[in-house]
Amino acid sequence: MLDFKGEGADKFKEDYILRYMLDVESRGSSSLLNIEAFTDPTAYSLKVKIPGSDESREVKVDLMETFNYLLGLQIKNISAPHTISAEFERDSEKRLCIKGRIAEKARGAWWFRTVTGTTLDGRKFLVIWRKRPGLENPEGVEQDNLVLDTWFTKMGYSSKDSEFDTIYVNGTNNLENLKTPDDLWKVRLIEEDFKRLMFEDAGV
Amino acid sequence: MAKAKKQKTAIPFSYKLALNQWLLSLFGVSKFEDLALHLRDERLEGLDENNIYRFHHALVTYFPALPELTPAVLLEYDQNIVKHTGNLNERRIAHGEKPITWKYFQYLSLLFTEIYLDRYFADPESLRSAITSQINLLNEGKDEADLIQGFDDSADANADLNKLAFWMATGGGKTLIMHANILQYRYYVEKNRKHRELNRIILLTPNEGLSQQHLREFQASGIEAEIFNKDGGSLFTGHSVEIIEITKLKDEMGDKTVAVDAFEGNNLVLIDEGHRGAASGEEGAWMRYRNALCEKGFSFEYSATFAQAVRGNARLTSLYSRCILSDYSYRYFYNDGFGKDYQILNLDSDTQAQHLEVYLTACLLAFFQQQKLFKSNEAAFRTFHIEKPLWIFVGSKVTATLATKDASDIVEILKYLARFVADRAASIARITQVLSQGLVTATGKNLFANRFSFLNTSGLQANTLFDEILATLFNAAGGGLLYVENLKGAQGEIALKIGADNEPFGVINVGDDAKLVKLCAENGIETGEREFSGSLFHGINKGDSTVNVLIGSKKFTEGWNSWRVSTLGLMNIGATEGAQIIQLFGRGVRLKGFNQTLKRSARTALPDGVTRPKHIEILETLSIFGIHADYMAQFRDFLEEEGLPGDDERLEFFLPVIRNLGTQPLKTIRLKKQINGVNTEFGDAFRQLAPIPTLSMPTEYLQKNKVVLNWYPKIQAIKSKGMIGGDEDAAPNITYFQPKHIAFLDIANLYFNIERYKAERGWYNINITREAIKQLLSDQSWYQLCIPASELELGDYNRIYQWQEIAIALLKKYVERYYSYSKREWEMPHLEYSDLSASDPNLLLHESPGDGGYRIRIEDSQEEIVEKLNELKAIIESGTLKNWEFRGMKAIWFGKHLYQPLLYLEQGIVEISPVPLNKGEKDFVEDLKSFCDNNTGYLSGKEMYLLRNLSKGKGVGFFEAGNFHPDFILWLLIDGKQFVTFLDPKGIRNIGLNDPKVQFYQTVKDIEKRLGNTAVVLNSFIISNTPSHETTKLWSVKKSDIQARNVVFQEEDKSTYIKSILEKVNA
Repeated sequence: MLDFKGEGADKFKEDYILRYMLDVESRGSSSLLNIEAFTDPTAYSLKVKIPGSDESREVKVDLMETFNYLLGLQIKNISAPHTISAEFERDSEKRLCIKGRIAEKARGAWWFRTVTGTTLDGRKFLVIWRKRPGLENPEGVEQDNLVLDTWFTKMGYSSKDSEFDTIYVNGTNNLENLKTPDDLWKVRLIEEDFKRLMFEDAGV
Repeated sequence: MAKAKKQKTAIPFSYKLALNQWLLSLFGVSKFEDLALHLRDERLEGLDENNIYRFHHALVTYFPALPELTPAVLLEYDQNIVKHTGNLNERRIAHGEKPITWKYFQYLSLLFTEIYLDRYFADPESLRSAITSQINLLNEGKDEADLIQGFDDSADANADLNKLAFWMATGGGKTLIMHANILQYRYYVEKNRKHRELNRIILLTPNEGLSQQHLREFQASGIEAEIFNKDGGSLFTGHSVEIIEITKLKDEMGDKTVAVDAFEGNNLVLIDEGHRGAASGEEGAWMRYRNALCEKGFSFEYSATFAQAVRGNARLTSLYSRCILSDYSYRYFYNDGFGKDYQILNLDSDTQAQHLEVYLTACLLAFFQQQKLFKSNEAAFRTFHIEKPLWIFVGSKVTATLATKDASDIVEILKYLARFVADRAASIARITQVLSQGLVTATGKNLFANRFSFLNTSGLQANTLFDEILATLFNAAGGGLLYVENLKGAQGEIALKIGADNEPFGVINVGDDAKLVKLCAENGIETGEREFSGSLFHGINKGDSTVNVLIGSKKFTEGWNSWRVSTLGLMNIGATEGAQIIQLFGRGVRLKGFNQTLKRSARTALPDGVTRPKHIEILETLSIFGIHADYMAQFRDFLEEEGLPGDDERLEFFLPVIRNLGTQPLKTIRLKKQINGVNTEFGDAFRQLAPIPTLSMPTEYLQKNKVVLNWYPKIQAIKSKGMIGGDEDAAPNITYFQPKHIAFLDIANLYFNIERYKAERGWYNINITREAIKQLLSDQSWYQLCIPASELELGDYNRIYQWQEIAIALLKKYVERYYSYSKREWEMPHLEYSDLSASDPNLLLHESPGDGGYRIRIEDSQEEIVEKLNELKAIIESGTLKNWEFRGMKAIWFGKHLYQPLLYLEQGIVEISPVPLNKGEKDFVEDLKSFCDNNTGYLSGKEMYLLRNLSKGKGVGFFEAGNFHPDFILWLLIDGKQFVTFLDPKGIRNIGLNDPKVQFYQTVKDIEKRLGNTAVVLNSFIISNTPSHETTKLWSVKKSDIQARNVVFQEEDKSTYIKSILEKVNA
């Protein structure tokens, strides 16, 4: 895979074997934490080695519950899943808009689930989990985020009396675009803090 | 009463700081203000996209050729600070807390520490002799009493130099500075391979409350710390910071105390508020212990009140003169606009004794005015983080028992309040007297003139005011008798009520509550007690607190915090307690401020659409009065010692300008104010109406205008200083990432970094995907990376961290370009020409009342400057346009500028708003002027106008060019055609040939074409004050190629560049 020739190669090879294996190699693998798989939080699984053999099997992981634990949330509410369907059009400025309205439909492509709660130090959190059927395609991301914005507004989360300190969402988004000068909440990425909190105390 | 004359040295302590002076001299300045002048701008806070502090760029721009602090050395220090700050912020970011952003004075403190520690470890002998020369310089021609004692040169230099002190106002963030100092010290210890010699890290605090607070703050910064436990912890010494109260250190082991000998002498010792021991002299026990602890180690000491601590002690004065590294005491803090304003209601003793009732009524009214004002517009004031006003009475005695003097002062206050409420007729008469006549002092000055602007304009009669005071201040609309109630449920608390059944309006917090209640009863005040009750004191900061008055001697100096304090009554202040009083004052003037800037609203740059509520200055002012006149005299002495103006006659000077708007409307470019009903300012329209871009591969434009990243300076900063040179003359190596590099990059980390960058910049309407990041990294068409080839070789594993850092820097720049490009493409059709209106903010209409002009703030009462400014004002008003220059401040008369004079300021003697011209700008105006004077022929038949373009929010700016606000707009009117030219004098060391600001000469032509008005011609020039030989080397292009991009060189082509601009414009 990599060529270890030339000056300094020996030292580098040694370093590589000692550190790369653990540090770099496992980065994208699903045995530690795979950020890409957060596009569908309901289907996250880990490969776990079966003791006493060389084989491994898939184990489902409940990301939502793990994250609540990592944040140390005292949970106030966990919503039932919402499935949403939507159609799109572009306006005269070519901005993407919802055609008609978004609707809760059993087979809707967009899926949301929220957790609200407080941490020990009194901060109020809203965690929005969503499936991102648009994956990493520009048009798909645009649609996913428009549905998120529309749904978020419809649920009234941005209104002042909700008063969350922090809103977590998985995946790139435009939520802060909806902020008014009175709003105090900040948006953070679930993936980033998930990873950080998971490895923070392990000394990685 | 005659004022006791105390033995005074001629020179204030703040002018005797030899070490501090030496550091300033390395920057070629003699005053802190001369450094601050270039860094004070809030927009310089934070990191650029290369993870370099913007302060660093400002320093290099204004101090490019320092012999000892070359740009490379400064960058090395900067990068150390970046790294340490990153460590302190890691945990904060992970917990969603606000990361540390250094203010300029904090950055300078850290930079000074870098400079000092670097030299201390490398060559203590020459550091010592450098400081010694500075001491000799300071001593030159001084009186015996003012001489600073030098080092004891026979001893080991390390022992002379291992103590540093930071003089920093309360609220200046000394705790965070301390955290960074620990990391800085550790770094240099390790770098010099001395870490085996370091034993423990110990923090000495004055009391347990502060120890606990420090423990929490260490945790927030992710620094391991623990409260010292003499029976354990030895296993991990050196790993975590051990916090111990100074009072627990003793010569011998005891029950609760520990012998100093138990620690060895090679520790890093940190001292918070060490002055509390210092006042008892150098031989005082605590200083002996401290010296023992750091005998072979090092110590950092932090205090807000060194001036008080060394008062009248020559030995201490000399000692601290040699070890105070940075001085950001109150006067700087205050003059930078931090904290509340303050007014000292100070009477001579005779007048006060005769008019005590009127005086106290006036103080009560001053407080009530704050209450009433706050109630009238609560929501607006809350935006500026102003809390419900609170009136506190404090003394300085920090004793658990009730001092007799405290008690008699408290009783005196209570008796006054009781009289005020009970005697309606007399109180109304006094209110009338205060509001209509004020109170005249022995010198004939009316102490309360202009103090009641809000009450006086409310149109209320004195009897109505009295009723309102009863209801608002005393929670007793119907009036009644004062009732003092000992709260048994809350130790040491006494409730104050009017009548037993009303809500308490105040609380007394003292050590011996029973004794005080008894004393009240003896003085004819009705008393009682309540068995079960919560603490009123702890509820003061809660929203539903009914308490308006707090009387208490201890709490305020022991870590109690409240943003509510708005009026301060002093009781029982003695002559020896200066340090405590200054601390108390420091807590009283704390202000959260708009956007938590900690600044007074008048000194905060407010975004458009936000206006200061009327009379807000009343709530942003701390009124201070004393129940005895000698307390106030004492207090003023303390303030003066700190260099704070003790008088309230601080100056804000308004300087008018002469305007000349020309004969025909001048064209400027601007974005339409609204698009489809949405404001375009601050990009609102783009965010709300435009298609949401997703980060993608480069367009043709982005391939043509590449991101250029020069990593050479960073490499030089990392290498040790001795190795610089050699590759300096070679052309930089331009290269790209290869798959072998990309394989090592952490894509998730890149993605998180870019998402965070997006949030920092407020670009919420762009989508970032990991996919795009991967594709961009394997594409070479959008960037150039200048870096020595060896740095990209596989060799040292640590290089992959550097590659990661490079990738982040490249991608951030690209995202910025991409976002700007998307915005520009969408906004371009909405650009238009507009006529410069007479109300344009560029014409200085908003800075001062009436017709506008400059607003100038003058520190202290510098009569000479005021006199000179009055002279200038007279020159302007008479229109004689005479030359005017004073201590590096200069008025520039140029009739073709739309207003005159323009002001230039070389040193920080005053503060001018809008900011004065810098040297490059001044030189340009003078060059243009002399061209006009010498080429009258060229100008015949032409009209020329110049206008200084202000920065963000006020002037003409071009977001697509990296939010470029060119410094000047020049109009040439020839035969009905307008040639509009944007000019920007600047140093171009830190920007590349492809920088959007340089490329703007083309962008502006695109705009011209788009707008399609043949009567208007647009051009843009950069006027470089960096010489061409440097630029050609940095950019590796010929001078003529640079000139082809409309960059002219100000210094080497001084006599020709103006002409070449004008010829190119009108080609």
